[in-house]
Amino acid sequence: MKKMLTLVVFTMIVVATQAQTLQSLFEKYSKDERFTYVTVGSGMMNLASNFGIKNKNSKLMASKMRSIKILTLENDANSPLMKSVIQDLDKIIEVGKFETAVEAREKAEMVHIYYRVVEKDNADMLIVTKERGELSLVWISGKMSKEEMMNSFSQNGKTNMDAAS
Amino acid sequence: MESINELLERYFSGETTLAEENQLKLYFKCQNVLPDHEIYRSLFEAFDAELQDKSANPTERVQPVRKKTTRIWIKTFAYTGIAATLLLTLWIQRSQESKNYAMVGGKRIQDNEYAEKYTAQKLNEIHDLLHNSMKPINSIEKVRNGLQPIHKLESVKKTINRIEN
Repeated sequence: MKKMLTLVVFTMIVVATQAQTLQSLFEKYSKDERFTYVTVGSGMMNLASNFGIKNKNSKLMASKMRSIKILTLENDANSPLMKSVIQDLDKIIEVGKFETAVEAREKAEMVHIYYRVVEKDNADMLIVTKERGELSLVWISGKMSKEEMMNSFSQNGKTNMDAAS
Repeated sequence: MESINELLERYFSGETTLAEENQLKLYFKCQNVLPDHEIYRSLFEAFDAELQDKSANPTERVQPVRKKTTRIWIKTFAYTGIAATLLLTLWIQRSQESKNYAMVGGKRIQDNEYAEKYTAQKLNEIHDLLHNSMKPINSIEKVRNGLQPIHKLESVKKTINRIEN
């Protein structure tokens, strides 16, 4: 019985240390000097005003967002580091049960938007942009339903941020 | 004499009360015990002696010997619990620190404004990318709007047919 318990605890520790999550990915690369990492936890309303968002719904959406984390890597597209990050990211998207919401490409620029609803109204949105020599990961988490999250970046094919323009 | 006989009879039948038993004990302790009752004196003296011996040397309560391994497990769980609590406290303290910051070149920049501006800039870039990619959808929308009169023709045709009939 004790051996069994030890084995279970050991297995749990191994799994916990090996299984990479979005959080661990951001933590891992945020300390790397080749990356730029920015996190915004509060003051979402200020951010909304930066966009010039005056719409009530958009302000509500901004208030529902808990945090925005951005990880940017400026490096050659074929560099081992870039490939390693993309590899890690692909694994997380697969294991983390993210669903693809938008996949857009314009010339060499690509945008992928993934989302998942973890618990009740606990959503994660991951925006991955790939440009020439630059990879950006934007992780937005908030307390909103799937529909609210989808509406936050898409309204009749336009992003909600269009309120700014 | 008769009452003692009666009490003795009830005593051996197990019908006496505690008070009656004490009465019998007191009777056999005193010197004027009737010769007919002398045979029972040794019995009551023996009970009394045993009672005194018990009160002088009460039975020792034997504690079950705990195995050393059980103690080790208890200690392990206790230490793990303490460690987990400490980690949780540290984590809560860390999470309560300002959430708006940037990491550039491995250095932490604790500047709300910078973090928010950087985030806004990144989101604007994503917005532009998406907006450009979604242009064909907007065009489709325009074409659909432009085709609205053709859909109306169908209803006009139906109305004409109805009038003709």
